[in-house]
Amino acid sequence: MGKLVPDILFMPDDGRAAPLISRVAAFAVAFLMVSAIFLFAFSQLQYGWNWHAVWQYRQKFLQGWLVTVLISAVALCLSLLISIFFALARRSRLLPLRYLAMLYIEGVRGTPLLVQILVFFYVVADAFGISNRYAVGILTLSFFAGAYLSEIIRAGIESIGESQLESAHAIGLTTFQTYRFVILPQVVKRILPPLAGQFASLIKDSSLLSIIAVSEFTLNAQEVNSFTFSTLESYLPLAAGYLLLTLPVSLFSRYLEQKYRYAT
Amino acid sequence: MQLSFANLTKTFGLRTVLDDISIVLPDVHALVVIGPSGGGKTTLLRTVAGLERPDSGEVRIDGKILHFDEASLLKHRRSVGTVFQSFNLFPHLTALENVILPLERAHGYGHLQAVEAAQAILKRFQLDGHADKKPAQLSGGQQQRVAIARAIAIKPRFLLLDEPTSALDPEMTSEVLDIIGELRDEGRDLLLVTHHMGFARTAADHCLFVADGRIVESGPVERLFAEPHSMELKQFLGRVMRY
Repeated sequence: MGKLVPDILFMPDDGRAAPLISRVAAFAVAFLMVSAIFLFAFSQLQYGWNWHAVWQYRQKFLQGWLVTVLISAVALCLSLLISIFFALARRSRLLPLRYLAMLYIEGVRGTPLLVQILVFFYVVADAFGISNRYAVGILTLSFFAGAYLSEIIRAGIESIGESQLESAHAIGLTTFQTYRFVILPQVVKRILPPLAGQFASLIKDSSLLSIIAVSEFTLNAQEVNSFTFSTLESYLPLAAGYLLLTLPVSLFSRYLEQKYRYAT
Repeated sequence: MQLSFANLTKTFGLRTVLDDISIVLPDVHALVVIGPSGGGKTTLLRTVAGLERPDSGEVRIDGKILHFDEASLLKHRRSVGTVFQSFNLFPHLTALENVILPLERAHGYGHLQAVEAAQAILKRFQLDGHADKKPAQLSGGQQQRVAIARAIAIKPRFLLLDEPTSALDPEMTSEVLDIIGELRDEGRDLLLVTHHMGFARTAADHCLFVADGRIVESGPVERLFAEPHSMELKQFLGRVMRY
């Protein structure tokens, strides 16, 4: 009996990877399908494209993009430090510290970033006399991402079995040594993929800083739009600019996931 | 090894696991603890290992009181070797690195010195061919032998073994019991919790029968097995020796 659809369209069911040719072909098909939908949609559009007007502002796009890269990079480092602190605080035996971490994590994860930025910039930062909108923006973003990261780290620490902690205890390691030699090396491997994924979100979330006039990528695109009245020409490059940053991070996260899948 | 307990009590929630245990044991080389599951054997061993703080009471080892503050317990844990039922090797380290870790980090060995000592002990247990394997690449019996090697490498005052073979199939059980027997023969003191009555009988010189959080009987191992006094031990032996 002949086959209705050729094997090349399917993932082998014996756990082997699909051959390169069939993966490339399948990707092309999927890509063409998505492209076709958008090409059709754009072709129906009654729109006077004016790329020329936007091209004049290419420097503004580039500057904005660089500011976004910078803000994201700084926030990435800061959020990592914040999240390590709160992940440990969440497990602390000191109860006030534990509840502080819980309030922070649930508070940040349960409210929109937009509201957090507004409250921190117009209320908290104002009260403490911090007027640099870039500093406030980076701090808010770091604390926002830190809450998500700290939950990833905490879950990573808790995935190390009780019996290993006991074993570390029994061979006479101190608590610090247990973290350093037993927990940390295993946790890093396990949480790297979700961590990388979270960093991709951080980059996109930085776009919300436009509401407090941090002139990053999104705000600059908005400005170009208001100068040229060329909405799509302003925002399509914006999407491409973010993809340029998030796609490598996301692919890297996939790669790490594969790499550590079978490592024990 | 001289061991004595005075009014040792430990509860987990509403359950009394050690119920006012008091006993002075003679100087023994190999002490075996037998008894029904959940009777308190493991908790007793863990207390001697410095892994469990009793609610009250006193433990003396070789005449010295075991203090239960963290600093004293850490020092004590570093002086004994403990082997668990489920091996408990660190999965991210090779067999060799598992043995090296406590030598280097808890016992002040230099790296080369630790590597040398670890290699020697693995070779002794015929594990030198497996030194660079991760625990997941080793059989259960091999993992447990590495765990014993790790416990022995630090030259402990005595060895504590908590049901070291109960997660192993029969063939691997004997390779682990062989090693324990060897260590005993060379005069190393050990405290063993086990369900292997045959091995307990041949390897140990003193036996404790623990049930319901109490030491029901204590005496030379031959005497306990040949003529148990208490009803509980008679019933227990009757059950475990039936097959």
